[in-house]
Amino acid sequence: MLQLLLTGIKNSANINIENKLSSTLLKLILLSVLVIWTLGFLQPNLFLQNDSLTNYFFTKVYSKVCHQESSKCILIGIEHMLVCARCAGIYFGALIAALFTFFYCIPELRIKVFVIASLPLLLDVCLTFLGVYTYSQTVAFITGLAFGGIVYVFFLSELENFFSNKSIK
Amino acid sequence: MNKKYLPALVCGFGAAVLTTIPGMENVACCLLAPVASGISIFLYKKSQPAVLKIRTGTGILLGLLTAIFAALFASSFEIVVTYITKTSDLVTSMPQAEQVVKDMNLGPAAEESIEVLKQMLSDIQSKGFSFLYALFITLTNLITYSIFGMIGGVVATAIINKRNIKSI
Repeated sequence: MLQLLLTGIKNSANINIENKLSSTLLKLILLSVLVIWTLGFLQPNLFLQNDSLTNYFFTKVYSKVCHQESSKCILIGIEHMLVCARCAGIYFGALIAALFTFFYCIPELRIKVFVIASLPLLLDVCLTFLGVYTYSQTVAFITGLAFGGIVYVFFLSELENFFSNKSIK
Repeated sequence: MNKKYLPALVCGFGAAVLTTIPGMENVACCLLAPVASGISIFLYKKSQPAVLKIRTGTGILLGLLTAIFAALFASSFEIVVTYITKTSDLVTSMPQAEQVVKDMNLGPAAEESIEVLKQMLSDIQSKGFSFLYALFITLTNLITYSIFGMIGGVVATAIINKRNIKSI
């Protein structure tokens, strides 16, 4: 009986360690992807040499995920970012959340939190589209930041569940 | 048709139609494919009331399917629009593309690349269709939409499952 109990405890401890390891690995992979993606759209601002090939390549890659309208892209120094302020906010939000998840345990988030985080972004999109007020890069960036952070947390928690279920099986 | 594919097909088509609306890209940005995937999973859940919890794998698959349908439809719409208007993004970006190929210092290969680009451009301007151009936009759409579609699928699965747990 005692032997059985001990084996059970040992197995659950092994599963816990395995889950923690896979979770950290997952977080590291996601963080790396986000860092590479962020460096990509900051390419004109960070790497100032005028290399037409890299410029063309990065512009083409990000043109598939953003309209890249120069008036809506944040200007750093003399160059614009390769994505608009809203997209930059979303990616930076996800990046900040990715860093935070290493130091803080993510609590179980409710849908209400997701709605609250995405409502400002949706309102900003609708109101600027309808012409209620003019587009502001700051507002777009901040609303994107909140949305990106929450989306990342939901994304990570679902993937963690997925991998922990797999390891239990 | 399999119940799994129908929501993906409907939402993919819807997203592709939205891409053709002028100015929609300014509003939707990178969110079109993830939102379409999310709606597709929501519809899938509605069509299967017996399913209490959507598996992450199913969410990813549905997101991917929606994105693939969206990419295929969006590419075909773009090809049709190019055929009618006999112009495309390539026409405006041609001088930049030529410069890039020249900067690569490929020697005779650069000349060939420029020839291919010019051929694509002349095909579009004369016939309204270039096979290489069609292939290029379909492939790029497939890659980008798929990545964002899968992300949308995972997030939507998390949200819908939380909603179900709450209602139970």
